[in-house]
Amino acid sequence: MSALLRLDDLHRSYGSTVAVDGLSLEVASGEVLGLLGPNGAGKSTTIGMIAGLLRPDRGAVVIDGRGGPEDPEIRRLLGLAPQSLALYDELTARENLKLFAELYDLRGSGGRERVQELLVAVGLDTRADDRVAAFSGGMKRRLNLAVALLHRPRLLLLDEPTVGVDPQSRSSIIELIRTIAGGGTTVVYSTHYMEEAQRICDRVAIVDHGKLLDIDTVDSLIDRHGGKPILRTIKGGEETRLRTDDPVRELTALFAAGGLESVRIDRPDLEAVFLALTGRTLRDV
Amino acid sequence: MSSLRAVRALAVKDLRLLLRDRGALFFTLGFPLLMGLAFGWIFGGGGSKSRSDLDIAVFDRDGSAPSRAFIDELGGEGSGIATAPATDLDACVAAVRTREAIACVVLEEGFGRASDAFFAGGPMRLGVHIDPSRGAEGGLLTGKLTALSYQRMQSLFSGESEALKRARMVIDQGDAPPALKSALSDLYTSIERLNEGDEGQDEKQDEKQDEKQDEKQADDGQTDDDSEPESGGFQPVVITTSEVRAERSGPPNAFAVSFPQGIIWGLMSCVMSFSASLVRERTQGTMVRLMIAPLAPAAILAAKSLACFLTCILLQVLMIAFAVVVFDLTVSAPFEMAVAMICSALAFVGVTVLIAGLSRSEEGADGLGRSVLLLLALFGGGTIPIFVMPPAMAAAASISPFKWASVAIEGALWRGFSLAELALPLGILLAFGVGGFIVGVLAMRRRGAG
Ligand SMILES: Nc1ncnc2c1ncn2[C@@H]1O[C@H](COP(=O)(O)OP(=O)(O)O)[C@@H](O)[C@H]1O
Ligand SMILES: [Mg+2]
Repeated sequence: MSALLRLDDLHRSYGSTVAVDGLSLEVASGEVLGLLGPNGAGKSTTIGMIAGLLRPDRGAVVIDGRGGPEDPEIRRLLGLAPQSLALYDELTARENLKLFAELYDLRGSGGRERVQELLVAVGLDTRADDRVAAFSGGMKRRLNLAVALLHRPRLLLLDEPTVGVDPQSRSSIIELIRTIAGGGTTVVYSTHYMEEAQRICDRVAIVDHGKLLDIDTVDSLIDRHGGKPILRTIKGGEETRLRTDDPVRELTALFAAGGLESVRIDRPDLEAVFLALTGRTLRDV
Repeated sequence: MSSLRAVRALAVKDLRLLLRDRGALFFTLGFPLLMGLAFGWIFGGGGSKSRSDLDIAVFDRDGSAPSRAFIDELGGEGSGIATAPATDLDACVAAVRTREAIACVVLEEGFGRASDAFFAGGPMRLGVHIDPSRGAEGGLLTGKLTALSYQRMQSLFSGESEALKRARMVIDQGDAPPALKSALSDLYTSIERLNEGDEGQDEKQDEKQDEKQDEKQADDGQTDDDSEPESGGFQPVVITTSEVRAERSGPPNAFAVSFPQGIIWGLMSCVMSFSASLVRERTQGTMVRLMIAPLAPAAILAAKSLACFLTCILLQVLMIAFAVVVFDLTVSAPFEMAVAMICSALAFVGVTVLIAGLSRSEEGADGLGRSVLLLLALFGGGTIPIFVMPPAMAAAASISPFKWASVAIEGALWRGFSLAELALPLGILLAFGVGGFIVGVLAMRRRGAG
């Protein structure tokens, strides 16, 4: 599969703060790529450069093998749900969608139908004519996503699309993204929630301090950096942790010894990968 | 998408946002109106003196009893006209020039003789010198003068006056010259018509006569007292009008001052709300969406500017229209007024872009921008009208774009400025518009690239 998006040695600083520091990666057409990193890792800056909102100090963004986002025709391929909500509070949900639909040439009955379709898709059809100002955080996030989807972009850039939402909105957002990805849309999904990255992404790029630490499928990352599974046992009220390549063999031996009160095997996850790569946990930062 | 469509969609959005922002809406349209009303009433514009009494200077060149009687009748109780005698023609015309009177009426020599004996002398001759900007009052006055003349004749004929007796005799004897006979029958027709109360037709005739006179004057540019009416019929009164340009000494009433002041505050509020809304696009993140939409970057600013421009125009039109309809103001230079409105709208679009470009945050546009604007508006005619400011203060106010908007709007509203006279304020307004726009865009560019 050819790369729909290629980042070539991207650099970007704000004054003396280096936000993105030599980032290179490729996203295949139809792929869902996660950008996983703590706050301040440079995810939003990276997405801003992909969308053409920020100019890289060095390096290049190439979309569809054609060129950068400076070209309005190439920007047309992009849909963006910014991390900071980008909605007119004093307009209704429908008016927000209608405005951006018009800016993407979706007018008349076709435009109206598309707007209605998305209102239903994000579960806002019953509140379509209420002002956004009256919406909950979750509803705003869903609308923010809907606006990005209006013109059926080929490359969807989602910057922390579930920040600050209730669990219900979170699952509905994640479900919607999976549906869209299933339809062949290429997605770049930035998050600092490893569960989300694990659930949604074909591959995950781990970033910290503006650098790409590794990029691969979740399984391969865990294999490479996650370390051994941890066998946790409680015996006589005391917990023992044992890192092992073969928890089943170890467990058999422990059972033979007898007296076990509780047993648990922790498979390493992206958290462990991040810890191994940075020496910190995602939750800490 | 076509940029024009995008600009329109975005401008509609901005106007809709303004409509939903009650505060901004109030300060842009409601508050200026209240200012116009309050200041107008406080400074004594509430009375309708200008409506009830037309001040007329009268020069009685004839000095006869009938001419004196005519003058008394003209300024009589309930006539709505206050007459002031002038000692000579110059004084009479000067009264118009200095706006003491809206017109000078001259009763020409032979007026008395003519009014006593229509067929013996010529017609009664009246000269009217009037400021062309007082068209409405001028029409009213000539109408009144004509009606009065006819009434005089009517009373002469209905009473047992010499004139009436002689007239009857002439007609009865039947050997009068045919021309005189025909003139008399015309005269009787007029009188009959007057008696029937068919005034509408009379007025139409008067107007026609005025027009004729006006045309004549346009030709030779001078009052022509000897012009005989061209119609074959006998005409008992000939009114000759000529223009006297009034000096611009003061506004016709307090609302002519207070409404432009209200406009200043409305323009200020317009600048504030649109600069804040431009900054808000950045802070609320919607600018990001607009920037990644396939638009020319200029379309975003163009749309905001268009919405701001339309709001400024709407404000000015509403305010002036209100003053005209409710307070009976006449826009002395309507075309110039349109140009003045457009130029001040452009100026404040520029100021809006400038403030938005220079403020870092919405609060910046609200805070620093607001205080500076407030000062500029205060001293740019928002409180003290420019024309009553001491010269030094008026000079200092020149840094305020509001001053130039005040000057332009007042100039077109009641000073009767021509485009040439308005060139300076209009030029400065355009300079504020273009300059503010350029500096504002450069500031935004620098920030955007940062
Ligand atoms: N506009 C800005 N001005 C200055 N520093 C910034 C700006 N935006 C981001 N940064 C800094 O750049 C780094 C990366 O930020 P960002 O890309 O927002 O990270 P993330 O989205 O991963 O949280 C952080 O250290 C942040 O403080
Ligand atoms: Mg971010």
